[in-house]
Amino acid sequence: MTPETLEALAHRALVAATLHDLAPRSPRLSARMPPTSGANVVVAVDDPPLDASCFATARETLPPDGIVAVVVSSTTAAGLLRAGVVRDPTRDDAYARASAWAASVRAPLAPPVSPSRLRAIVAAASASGFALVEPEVRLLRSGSPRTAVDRAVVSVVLRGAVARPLLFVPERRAPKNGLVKLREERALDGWIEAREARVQAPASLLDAALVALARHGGPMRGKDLLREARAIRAEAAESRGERVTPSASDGPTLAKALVEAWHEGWLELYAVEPRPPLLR
Amino acid sequence: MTASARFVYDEVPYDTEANAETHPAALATLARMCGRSPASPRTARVLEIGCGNGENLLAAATWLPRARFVGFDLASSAVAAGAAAASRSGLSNVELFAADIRDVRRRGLPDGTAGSFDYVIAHGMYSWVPEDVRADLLAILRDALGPNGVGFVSVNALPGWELRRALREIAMDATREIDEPAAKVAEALRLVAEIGRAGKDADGFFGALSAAAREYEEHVTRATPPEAPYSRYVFHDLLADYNDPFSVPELERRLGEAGLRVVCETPLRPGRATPVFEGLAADMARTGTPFLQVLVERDDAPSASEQAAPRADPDLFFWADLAPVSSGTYRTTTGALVRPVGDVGLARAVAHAPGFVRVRDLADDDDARGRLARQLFEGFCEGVFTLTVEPPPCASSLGERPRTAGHVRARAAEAVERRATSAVVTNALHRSFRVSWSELVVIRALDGTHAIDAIVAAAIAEARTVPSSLAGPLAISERDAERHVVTVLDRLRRHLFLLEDEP
Repeated sequence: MTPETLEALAHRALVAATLHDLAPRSPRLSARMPPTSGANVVVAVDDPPLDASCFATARETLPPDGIVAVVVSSTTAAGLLRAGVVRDPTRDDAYARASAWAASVRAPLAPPVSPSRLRAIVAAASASGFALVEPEVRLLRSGSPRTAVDRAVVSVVLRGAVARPLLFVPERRAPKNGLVKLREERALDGWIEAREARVQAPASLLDAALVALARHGGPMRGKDLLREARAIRAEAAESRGERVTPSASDGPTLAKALVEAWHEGWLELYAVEPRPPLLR
Repeated sequence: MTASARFVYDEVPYDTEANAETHPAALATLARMCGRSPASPRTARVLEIGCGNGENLLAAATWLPRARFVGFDLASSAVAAGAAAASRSGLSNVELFAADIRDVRRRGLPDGTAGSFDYVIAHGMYSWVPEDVRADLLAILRDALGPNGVGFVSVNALPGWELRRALREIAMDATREIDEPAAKVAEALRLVAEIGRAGKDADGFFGALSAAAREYEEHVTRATPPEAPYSRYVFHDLLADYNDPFSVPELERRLGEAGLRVVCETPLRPGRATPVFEGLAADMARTGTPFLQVLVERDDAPSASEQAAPRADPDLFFWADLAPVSSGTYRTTTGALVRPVGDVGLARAVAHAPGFVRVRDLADDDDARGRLARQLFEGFCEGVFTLTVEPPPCASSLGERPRTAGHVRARAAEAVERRATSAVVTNALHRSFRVSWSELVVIRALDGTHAIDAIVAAAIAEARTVPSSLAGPLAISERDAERHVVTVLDRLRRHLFLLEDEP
């Protein structure tokens, strides 16, 4: 794994921790095992496979508010990305959609894990006093699985297509059933970056935000992005002879859409400024 | 199948049916198109590895009485059921036995049969057995094949199968603590349906997965017989203990290590009939076909170095069931419309339908013959026309005392007796059709001893013993019953279910 990829995975881990309100106040990240001195967030991948001793080492070294983030991807999505699938714009079946998705994804690819491997990682963490925390699976309408590991399995396969951090906290800090709340509004507290312009004529606030990101050409602060997006949306509406006024719901709406796009892998969120590097 | 799978397949039988692409004539036809010299299907020796209840072999054996069929499977209950069915059908050219692939590999094939099979089928096996059994499976296939033998191997294929893998991962994980097969399948299908519904309007990966879930639901409906208590297909596929997909290069590598090489893909697909495997991997990445079937041969086969692309062959026989739709326009059994305007050869072919005619005899000169062969080959790849090395022994007209093959009759009789609303019967080209009870009653009587009047009388008598909803047109009036029987017989003739008169 290249240092650049590891850096990108570390950012995703910190974003996940922030969205779940688990990030330490002053995050100091380490991608080493044992962690570097003073680190309070360990970022790991399952390559080579993590075992209980890895988590035991982290447990001994991390402070009480420390967390371990194991960044994974789904085997399915990894297979599609690796296979060099070719998009066929004339078709709209499942595979054509998957090809279109694969062609649009640029996010770093973490080592894939199967559900059984994911369970083994959680078991190894548990043996060292770490508990997995997971929010509800919002994609399913019939209710979320009860345990955190069940939710993680479903989430990784359904949408963990792009590097997805599994967050582990010391057991005594874990909420009941490992259920954490997803605080999407925190997305606007950080930075946002889109790698390519996907929208020509913005209609929604997200569209307008993407235009703003494309114009900016680099990571933007969330609050600046919201302001720019509102302006672009208003400008676009005016050119159509319409009028749009800012609303208090703009922030939450945009934040939700940004988190969704981040999950899908075609937009990057940062909890802290992307420069200088997180991992030193 | 393995020892650990024995219990599973004995406990939950697989609903094995005939697979048209594995029929010796289908294999011989493709081999011939690829420049090989396959054995005549009529007198062929055929082995099926993992034959389940043997239905794939029985359905072929009944139309090819001079050919010999051998099959084995680990599921002893399925093998016993197949042997009983063969006996009921009067088939003496089928031998089924229960065995573990690993044992067969260790002990060898039954005496004197190594290297003697003209066709060896391993359908639905390679992806669905443990890794160590895969090598044994290919080794048995290699050992069994004669020098000009043709093998058939099918696998779940990458990258198209990746979305199915996602559904499998979720279903396997969610049902891991459910023991009862029907409950396991029900929960898996509930989840698949939920994913299909939840992502209907989603974009990105989840949108694709949701579409895959909806496609899988449709697939399961097609793959599950209506009379099945639950989808045993799902149990043995989505929820199977072993189910691994393979990429084209990986499959080719594994075949190569086993001393086998690919002849061509089957069925041939339009635009894919290019030299053997060249470009197939890229094509699979473009189309996402989740399943791959290939013909293989020994790497020391006499023609193995000639990697000819499948091509038209004027010595093949043409057949199509073309029903006239309007003047000069016909519809095939697949629903395709054929309008042979301005082409004498194709018009002749259509005029000859539904009989078999040699492609060579449909044109007057070499140019026309070559052009026609190419046209028919394209139609064959599209699934519109049939081309075959040998016409099956079917009647071209309705005789006085029509008869069908013994196994077809036996299946019909069994379904009639248990008052099934419908059942699957397989024709001389190994194509399966689901027919209703009122048709099964007619088929049951086709033993060549009954005149049509007697068949009508027997059908009416039988119809009086069942509810009118089952008897259908047989219960309305004598005239309707007679019309129904004649219609059924005509359809059976057109669909190659009636044997030619014995000399």
